[in-house]
Amino acid sequence: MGRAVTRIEDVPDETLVAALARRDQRALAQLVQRHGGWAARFAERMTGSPHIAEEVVQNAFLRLWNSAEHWEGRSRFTTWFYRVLHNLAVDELRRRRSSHEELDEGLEDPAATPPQLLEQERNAARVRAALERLPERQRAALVLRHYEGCSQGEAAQILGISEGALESLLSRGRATLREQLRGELH
Amino acid sequence: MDIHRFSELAGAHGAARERWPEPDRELYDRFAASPEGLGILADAERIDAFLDGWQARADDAGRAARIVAAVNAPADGARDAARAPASLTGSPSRRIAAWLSTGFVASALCGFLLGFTQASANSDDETYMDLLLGSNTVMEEFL
Repeated sequence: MGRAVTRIEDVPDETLVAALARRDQRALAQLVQRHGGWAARFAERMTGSPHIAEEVVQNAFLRLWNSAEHWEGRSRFTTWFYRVLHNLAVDELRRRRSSHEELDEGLEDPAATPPQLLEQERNAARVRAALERLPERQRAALVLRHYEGCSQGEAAQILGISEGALESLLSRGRATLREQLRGELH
Repeated sequence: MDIHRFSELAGAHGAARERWPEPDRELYDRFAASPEGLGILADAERIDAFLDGWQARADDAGRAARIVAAVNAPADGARDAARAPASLTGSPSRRIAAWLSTGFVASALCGFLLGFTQASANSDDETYMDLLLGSNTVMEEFL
């Protein structure tokens, strides 16, 4: 009777986090492989900068590594990790603003970019600028619902608010964007 | 449940049915094709399209390795530098300003210490230097 072999790709997140507490490098690599991509995209949409986003994601994994033994698993790993990323992104933005550090716009070099990509970059920059003008909570609500595809319940849980409060943040955020767009057209 | 609530929901969740919360999709189906509903959804669609203008970048192949390396890096000067005040790591002009203010504070502190020791009736030059250098023997005299 041979033992059933479980591939690490099939191991649930919660088990991998438990392995992190035992300083298991394979578990760390697997969690980074599994969640590093979306974490970086989310952090970039929150901070507006790929470079700050990578710093935020590294810090989030560092926290996970250092406190894995205290993780209680009361919510899904992804919900919990979104929350960590959100808090770190907000802290980092506040720190940079209070110290007047310039926020990186993340724009490509126009001379080295094909026209179609340049147009995409310009559109992205407009959206990024519009989202940056929103209050943090409204931006986070829009990013979680529109880009991340989180359900109403999950987005509310990540932000630690009720679903009604989330709907209100989304309404106000989109209303502000509508005003900004109107201003651009006139 | 009426068109007013439909408008509120479109204002929060946009024009795409799949983005609406499950319990509200029945309302979507009831009003989406009505003349009033079409106008509301067209307005919401403009915001959706605007937001869609920010496409996600292609995944960075080296990112995972960099994250693992950062987590495994010892808590050395590199990480401390990353957390250092912006004034010490920012633009050259800000760095110069930071060093100048640090120098000013340091010289003011030295002046204060020298003045304080002179006032304490101990005029031996060696004693001032010992105090500045943190000599325990001299410190005991002030305790």
